[in-house]
Amino acid sequence: MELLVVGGGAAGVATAYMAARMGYGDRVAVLEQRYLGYGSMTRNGGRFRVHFFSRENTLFAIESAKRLLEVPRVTGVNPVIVRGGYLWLFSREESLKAFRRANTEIWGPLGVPVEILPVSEVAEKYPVLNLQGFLAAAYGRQNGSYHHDYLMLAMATYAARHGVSFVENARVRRIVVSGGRVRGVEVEGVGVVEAENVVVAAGAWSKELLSTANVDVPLTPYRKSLLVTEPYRYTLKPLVILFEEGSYLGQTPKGEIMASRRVKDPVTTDMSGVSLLWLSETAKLLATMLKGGHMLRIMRVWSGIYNTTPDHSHLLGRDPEWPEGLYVNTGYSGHGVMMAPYAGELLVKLVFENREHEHLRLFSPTRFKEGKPIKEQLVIG
Amino acid sequence: MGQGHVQVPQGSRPDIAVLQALKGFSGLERGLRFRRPRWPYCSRPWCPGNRAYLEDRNLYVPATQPLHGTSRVKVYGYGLLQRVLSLIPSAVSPGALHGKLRGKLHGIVTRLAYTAAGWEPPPAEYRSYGALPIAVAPPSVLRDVVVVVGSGVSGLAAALEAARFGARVIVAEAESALGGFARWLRGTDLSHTLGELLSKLSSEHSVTVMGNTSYIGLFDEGHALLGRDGVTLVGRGSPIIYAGGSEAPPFLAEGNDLPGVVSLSYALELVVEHGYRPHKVALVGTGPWASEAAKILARELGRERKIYIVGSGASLDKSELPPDAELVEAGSVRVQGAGRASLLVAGARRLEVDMVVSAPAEYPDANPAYAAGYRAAYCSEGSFFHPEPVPVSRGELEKRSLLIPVGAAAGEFQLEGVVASAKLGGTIAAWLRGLASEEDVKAAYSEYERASRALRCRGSGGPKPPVIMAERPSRRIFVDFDEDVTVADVLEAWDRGYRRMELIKRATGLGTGPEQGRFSAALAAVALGFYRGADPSEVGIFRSRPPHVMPAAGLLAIADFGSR
Repeated sequence: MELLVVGGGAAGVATAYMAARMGYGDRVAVLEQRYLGYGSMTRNGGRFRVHFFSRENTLFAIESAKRLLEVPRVTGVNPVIVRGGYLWLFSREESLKAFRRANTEIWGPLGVPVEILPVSEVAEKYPVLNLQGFLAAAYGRQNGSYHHDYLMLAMATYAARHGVSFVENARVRRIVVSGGRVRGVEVEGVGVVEAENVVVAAGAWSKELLSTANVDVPLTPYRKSLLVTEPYRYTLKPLVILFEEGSYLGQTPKGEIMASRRVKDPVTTDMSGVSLLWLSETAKLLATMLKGGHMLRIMRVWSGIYNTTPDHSHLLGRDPEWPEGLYVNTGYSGHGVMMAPYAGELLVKLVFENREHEHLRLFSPTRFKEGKPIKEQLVIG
Repeated sequence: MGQGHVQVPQGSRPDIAVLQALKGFSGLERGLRFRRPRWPYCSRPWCPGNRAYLEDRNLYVPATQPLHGTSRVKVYGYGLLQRVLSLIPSAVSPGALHGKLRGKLHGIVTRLAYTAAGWEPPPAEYRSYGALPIAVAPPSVLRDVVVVVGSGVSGLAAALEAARFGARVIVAEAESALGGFARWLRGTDLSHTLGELLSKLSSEHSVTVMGNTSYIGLFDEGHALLGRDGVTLVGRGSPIIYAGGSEAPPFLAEGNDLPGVVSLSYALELVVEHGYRPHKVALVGTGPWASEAAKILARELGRERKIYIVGSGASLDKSELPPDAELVEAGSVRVQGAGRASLLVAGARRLEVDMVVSAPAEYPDANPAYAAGYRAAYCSEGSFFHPEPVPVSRGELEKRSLLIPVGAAAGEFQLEGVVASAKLGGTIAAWLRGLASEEDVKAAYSEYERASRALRCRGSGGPKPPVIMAERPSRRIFVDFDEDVTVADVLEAWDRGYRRMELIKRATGLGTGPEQGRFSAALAAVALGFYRGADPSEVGIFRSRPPHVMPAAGLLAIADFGSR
């Protein structure tokens, strides 16, 4: 196989989708340890944004959002994309200043400014919110939501139709290297699958897998949880973020209210647990942020992983010191689905057309030792 | 039945208040795709339609739970105007699977049509009511105890068995009365056994009962129970016996999402406890307790009321049924009506009814068991899906977070099996607490092996639908009544290559509503078996997640939890 993608989550499926779009479908295979989207792809809050505090992430996100918005047209499947916006709420002056600065220096010039709004205007637009204690807000109308499962199925079915092979229940135990070159991967219960190029897009499981090729990448898996309530009348379109806390709440088009409060997260790849402390804090978030919020009934809670790098920016491409043919596409630190389409395109261009785009170079895993981290501080959740 | 409001006093249940005020069923919640008014199917928090809209608060509340404060419940009618307007969205329905541009059109048209029909709730603000807390005290922690969830026959039998070995037992009962399903089956072996257990309980001092306390699930910190005043944590390492009972799934008939189609336990509750007296009742299906229930209904309703028993051929034991009930043989049923179920088409007969009682095979409410890692096995006789038998090795139980399903929650529906599984559960729990020996466990297990139906029951010879099913899957037969997913949608997903329940769930939205797959996953698996030759046990159901009931956020907003 010319390109073997390890991981059937956001990054892996988007890479396969882009390969298919560019005509390389039949030269790509995706190996997934359980079922497509088993990791965070089916566990996330279904949102995308273009606003980041670093110029690099903002650029990347703008390009990726464009590609995300093309998915319905290209695939013929509707992932229910709604441009409901993001609404950041501030309770401190410094926060507002930071947003104004980003607006002036990065977002405005790149054509994606946010609107700074007084609390009174927010209260009028969203009467369901309790805005006590907040000074102001920033509204980014360029951002929005999608249905994460439909998005994944849209990209995966398109890719499959255009030649990509998807293999589930294929857990990759190690990367096979010889003579300084990648030869393929060893799949549990199957044996060695040969490939010229391997991209590790295995989310929380990437660090361990890369170590089998003697490659060390700085990744830490933080377990994060989400809750949804039963459906209520759809009144809250934007994702509402309590900026200083990093907590957020929003509503799906079906009416379920989705929320998560930031607490201290366990470091683990085990997504089966949920903490009662977190649930209690998030219940408090609902009760305090929404009028009548303490009456809302909680339907389901679950966990996923923020696969996090030291600078909260993803890893894309390769280090020249690695075995030839080995690439990485992971470390999205909580904003993977939205970034994956562009990352997939850049990676496919690199592997199949030998074209290294400057945006890909920015996120190279070599940036840490080169002293060029992309310190991203606008993290949500 | 027309549209309107019913005033519900504080402490009353919306469903009972509406039933008494209108002398019959009418919609409490709007349905989705076919936009019919809904009524709770059963009285559990997650049952289809179990929501009542408080118009003066702009809030949905559980329809079968007492209100915290007086309020006005909106009753959704289905008159001529609504019937006409409901045709429009159905015509542009995008279907459940990968709705395309029609989805947008459907949204706009639906909103317009239903606002015109008076089915859209108005303001955008939720107004609270009653004394529900916004923050509750830190949880109390139970240690060195055996916790039993459910005070029905199996729960009490398990509790008393564990106490017999010297364990301290806490029984958590979600309702305010003890006894579970057996309460409604007066005069049967089951209720007789319940009576004996209750009198033993009163003299057993090491068993404490916590009423109005539900099991919400296993968290990092341990198992959590939720009562009126907040959370109780069961420290990790204490065994928990799950005796949450069972429920009959809604039968698969065309368009049976109408008010007036109810589960067996709910029908008995309405008649026996709340004095509801329908003139004509149809009892569909012949699952566990159906014949006993028919006798009780006949006794309560008296001679001037009419009872039809609808089932197919050999499964109807005529000697077991009340003398003046009319037997109707039918291989398939269709329920029709305008705003409430009023007509049952069973085979060739058209029956006018006030209430349709669904009594097919039972589906154990074993969600916590499935969450703990028990696999579901398809059983074609009597029960629908049941969790694998209780493992007796400590390691296996630890992997399953020391959760032991017993009774109907473990797929046992005959009294002997219920009691044997409960006693086994109690013995295992005592053993885990170091109070019973391995010999005791072995003895209890061999008794369980002898009496258990679930152990013997496997999917025998092809999936037999536990409910009466139509020959061809029409677009109007639902498996998920919250998300309006039909049998045809599930088959379409299957035919498109989504061959796993997880994927079918993702593609159709099945099991993502309040019911969380409790009925829909099993119904879908069986439908796939029936129409596509799949093995329901292989297709499987999906794991549930906490909370296993739907607690209001205020009850979980624990103050100062971090300081524990």
